[in-house]
Amino acid sequence: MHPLQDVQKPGVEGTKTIQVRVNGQIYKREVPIRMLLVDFLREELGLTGTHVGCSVEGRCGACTIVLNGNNVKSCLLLAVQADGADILTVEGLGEPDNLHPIQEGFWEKHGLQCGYCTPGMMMSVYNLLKVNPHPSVAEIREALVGNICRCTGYEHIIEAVQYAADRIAAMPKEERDKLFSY
Amino acid sequence: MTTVSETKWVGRAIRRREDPRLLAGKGKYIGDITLPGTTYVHLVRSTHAHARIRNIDTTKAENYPGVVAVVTGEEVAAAMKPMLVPSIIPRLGGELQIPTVYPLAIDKVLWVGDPIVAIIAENKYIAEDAAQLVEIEYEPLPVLEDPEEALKSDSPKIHEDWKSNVLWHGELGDGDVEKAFREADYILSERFYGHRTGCAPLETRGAVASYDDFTGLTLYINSQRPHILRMALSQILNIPHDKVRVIAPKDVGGAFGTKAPIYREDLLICYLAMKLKRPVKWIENRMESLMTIGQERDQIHYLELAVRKDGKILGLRDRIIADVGDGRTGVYLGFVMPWLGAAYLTNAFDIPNVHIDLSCVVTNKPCLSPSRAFGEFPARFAMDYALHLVARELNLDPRDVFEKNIIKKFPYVTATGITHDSGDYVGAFKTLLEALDYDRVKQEQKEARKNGRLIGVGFAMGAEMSGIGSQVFVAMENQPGYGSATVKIDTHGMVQVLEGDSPQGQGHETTIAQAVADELGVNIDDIYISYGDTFATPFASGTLGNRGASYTVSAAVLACRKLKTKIQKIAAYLLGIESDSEEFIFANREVIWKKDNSKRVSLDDIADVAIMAPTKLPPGMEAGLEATAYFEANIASMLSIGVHGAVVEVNPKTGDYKILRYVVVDDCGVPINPMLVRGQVHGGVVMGIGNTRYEKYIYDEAGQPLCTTLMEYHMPSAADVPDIEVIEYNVPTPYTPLGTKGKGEGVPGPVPATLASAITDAIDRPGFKLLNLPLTPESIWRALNEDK
Amino acid sequence: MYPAPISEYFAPSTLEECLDLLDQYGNQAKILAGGQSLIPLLKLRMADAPIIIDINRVIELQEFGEKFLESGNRVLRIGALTRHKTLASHPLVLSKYPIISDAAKYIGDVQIRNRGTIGGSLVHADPAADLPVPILVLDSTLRLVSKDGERTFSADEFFLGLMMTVIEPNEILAHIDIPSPQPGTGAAYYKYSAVFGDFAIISIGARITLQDGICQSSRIYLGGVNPRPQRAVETEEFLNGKTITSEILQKATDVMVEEVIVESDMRASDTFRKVLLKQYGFDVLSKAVQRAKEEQI
Repeated sequence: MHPLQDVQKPGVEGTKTIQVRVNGQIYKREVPIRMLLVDFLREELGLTGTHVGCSVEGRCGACTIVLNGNNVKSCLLLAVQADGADILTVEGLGEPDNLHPIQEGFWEKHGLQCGYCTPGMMMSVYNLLKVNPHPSVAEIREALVGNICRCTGYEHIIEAVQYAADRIAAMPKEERDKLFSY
Repeated sequence: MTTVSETKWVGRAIRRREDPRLLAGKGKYIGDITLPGTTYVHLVRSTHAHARIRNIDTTKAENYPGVVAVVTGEEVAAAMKPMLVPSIIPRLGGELQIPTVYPLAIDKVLWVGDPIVAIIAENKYIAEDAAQLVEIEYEPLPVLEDPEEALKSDSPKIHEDWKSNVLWHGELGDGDVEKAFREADYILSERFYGHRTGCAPLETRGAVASYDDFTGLTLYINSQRPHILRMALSQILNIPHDKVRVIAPKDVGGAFGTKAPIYREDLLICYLAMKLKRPVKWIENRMESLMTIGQERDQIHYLELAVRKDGKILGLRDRIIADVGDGRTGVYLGFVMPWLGAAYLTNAFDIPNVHIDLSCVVTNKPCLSPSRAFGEFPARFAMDYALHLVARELNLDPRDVFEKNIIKKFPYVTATGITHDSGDYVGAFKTLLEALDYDRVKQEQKEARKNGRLIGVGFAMGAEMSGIGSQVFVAMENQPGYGSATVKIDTHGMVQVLEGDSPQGQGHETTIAQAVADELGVNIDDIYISYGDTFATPFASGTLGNRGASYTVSAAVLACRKLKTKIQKIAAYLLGIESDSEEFIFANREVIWKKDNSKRVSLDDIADVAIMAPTKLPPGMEAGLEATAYFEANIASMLSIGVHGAVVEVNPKTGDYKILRYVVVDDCGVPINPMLVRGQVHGGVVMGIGNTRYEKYIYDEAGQPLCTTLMEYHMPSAADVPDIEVIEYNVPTPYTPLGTKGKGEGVPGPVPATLASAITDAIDRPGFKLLNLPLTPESIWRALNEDK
Repeated sequence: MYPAPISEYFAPSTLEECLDLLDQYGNQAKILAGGQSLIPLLKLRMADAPIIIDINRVIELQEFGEKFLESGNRVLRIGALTRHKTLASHPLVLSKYPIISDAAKYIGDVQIRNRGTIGGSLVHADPAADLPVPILVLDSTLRLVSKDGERTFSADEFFLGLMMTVIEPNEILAHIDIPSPQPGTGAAYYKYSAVFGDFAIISIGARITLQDGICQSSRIYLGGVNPRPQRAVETEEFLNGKTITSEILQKATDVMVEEVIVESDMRASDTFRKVLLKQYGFDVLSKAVQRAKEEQI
């Protein structure tokens, strides 16, 4: 498409108050209607672990979060759409001293270099392992189509996912369920 | 080849120390930095590829609520020197025409995306609203998109004050080329084209600048070269050096060369902060990014090889035409990449007689910006694929042609003046063939062909630079090549390392710590690495060109060794021992006398004495425990080899192909952390596959870019690429203290020739050749149907 | 890249409220379903939406399942808000309507399939999108509703051209009805794209009804070839009445390649699109025939 097309002239800015649960904490904020969910998370809530890489169409997936149980791209939602939603971002996955097995997998297997795609990538892995605890390599690759990594060549990411899957499979069911409560 | 047995940390595949923060979403990237009172910039960019600006009307934008300022080119230009100051102009001989450039276009635009107006607003949404209200009148000028057209003498000139559209022209080479061609049994002569593609990182560029009259200018920017940028800012903006502080954030979301130049936006953001006395933030959006940076390659090679009938290359002639775009991006001017591509053209091969004629031509496209496999991507394609074509023409096994020509004696200086320091290129090459099971694949190929399946095997290699020493770099870019590091032991016995480079995912916090931990006998967790802040770190030319493991790590090691001399003197004094300074072992945070193990002092005690209680130091000794070292290898340049091989299956009806195996045999000297080296190789190969097959910056005849989102510029996803097998074949270099060399920068280079040769082998039809990148199914289908 | 100011946002929970809003705001309003196309258009400021009507809470648009119409005909009813994820993985689709999952499985990526809706995709009418082709192939009907009443269109009538449909500003697509197939019917879909999950360079959808090995009827549409999915009428005519053999399918593919009008763009030339149609046309037809034998459309 033409990069710098003639565009509509701006009109009046509306706002709306929304309430969202993010990583277990409830936030109530008045936001401009046009504000993208990713900007709400990053700039209103200060959760800067969710990144922006493609600006437009969501192809890069760096802004992936889990919204009401599904991994979605937070740059393709308005914040107002998340009113009443339950959201998981990378900040809710695990703390540096208490990492989620997915994070451990990425650490152990060197599944990240610059780390920019990693939060979004792990959100997609979360969604994958929640529904498919023992994915094949092909299934892992397909599940990550929506998350571009420019550094790793994906090889170590796949090993990271396998590592996490094995770790999780070895846990008692209750613990496993706790890991996937979103 | 080598094993590291005497060291504890170097050579171990330990987990990275930077990862916990990144995994927890606590990384600090440029987009995460916002200062109180920040304003936001949006740039209005040219919609024309070549036009005179007749009028700019910013009235409506200025009146839009929330707009702080609207700034145009003349105002910015009046506040600074033309950006291409002498210190950032490369000196590579030849004939150079230097363009004039300021941050914003003034009366003319040279490509779609050329910045014209800056809108500064209270938030980023408003800045973009106001940008829609700027009205610009253009008078279109003829557009030059084809560098061969632009070379013609009757072509319109893009830079009107130039005598031609050639930014740089020069010749490289040595030996008696005429004689080589006279004596040749066979001369290969082909035109190879490597398209415009590159290394767009996932994080775009970004900058946050602030200014006050007392501390001066502070620029946070995701630059690979904060010190070089600081120097240039001071000169261009005419501000004292002590009033310019550049800080690269702790975390940078990939760069691959694209964040090495001095861009126009960098200067613009600084100017705006100085004008407004408020912090100014600019985060490049992906559309701007795809229109502006990360575009590289784009070379045409008219390559001729003089070949003996046994496959030995006697001589090489090449006429290279590089499309450098507008040529106005600082430090590299778009031409250093093709120049290096030419200088490295002969790759890992012993070709004594070489003549290369290189023309770097300006067109109405964005300036080339460095991208991993810096200038070499099309050159490797031309050179290595040409060797396969030679083998096919002479009915030789390409394996033998490669072996015959691979450099065998080190150090080796190529006809273009590049020094290969050490290694075992033939051994690495043979290891690849073994790993591929070359003979068996050739056998399977025959079987498969009977069943109508076309399998092919191909290979190529890349001798990639591993940093460049000052003896080359000073001439090349007016900058030192040394690595620099400061090592300090603090009051708590913790070790702080400060490096002047600034990484973007390479893992310096881990690898430098591994080297330092061994030197000082401390635990890796006792070490912290600081980088990015030009007010705190020693001068260095940046994280690029595989400098880290070769130069920067070596500097850290040398700094440790300087410090160890002092520590041993203190230890001897505290222990009351008469000792030479080299009689101590550093282990377990202790300094232990070799002659009597019971005589030992903890590093903490030494730190305490040296810093907190200097009265206890040997008489006359200076307090403190820190040392800075500058490492310069005792050789012009170090290179490290990677040999790539692939097995592919091709569908001859559609030209589509699948990579069945991709194998890399890799040498990085001594690997500091083998897991990180593998990661570099995987990533480099996949970037190479992306550049070879999926990614292309396409322009229409009017110079309009057609790939302005990631829906058109196709970076491969996990489902688009194969598994990558990596085999280590490491030969320590004698030119660094630990035998280490850098790895990662050049990895994409051998990919196109590897795939092209494998596809050609699969098709196996006389006359079939793939001379143009990218290797899309359609391009292969065309090649198949053109030669019928 | 951010949307222009939006002055009002409504998230109605019933169809009636939704239609009232559309009636009131019509041209000024944009319907937001999955948003996977609309939000990018807003960011590019190529769509103007001072008012957003978010339909994600409208229950009536979420129907999904087999249903008997008043006429007594059985249909698969797909509410406009049905997500691609459901179409890609619902057991009913996988077992009886696999042409739909063939297409839905490779729309974009997981995240897009979790959000994107069939209604959004059809109304957006991108010729290289995945869902229009199977919807056309299955002779579906699309129900549009507004304050003024209802209008029903065949899929073929619904699509007008490049990103253009018959839908009026005060209307909303409520659902898609896919008629139950004649006995002996099978259908299949294939997309060829530059990278995994990308828009189609070409896509092919075919439906064939067999009786005693003879083709009773057929429907073939090609996507990605020109501004609107194109029906391969001559190919259908060639197949109808013929005893289906591999050779006939091969010849039908040739007819298809011959009749289709293809355009060039940056993804592929017209010539190469024909090469791909020739390569994959036969596979899709064969798959449809195979499924006809298993009665899967």
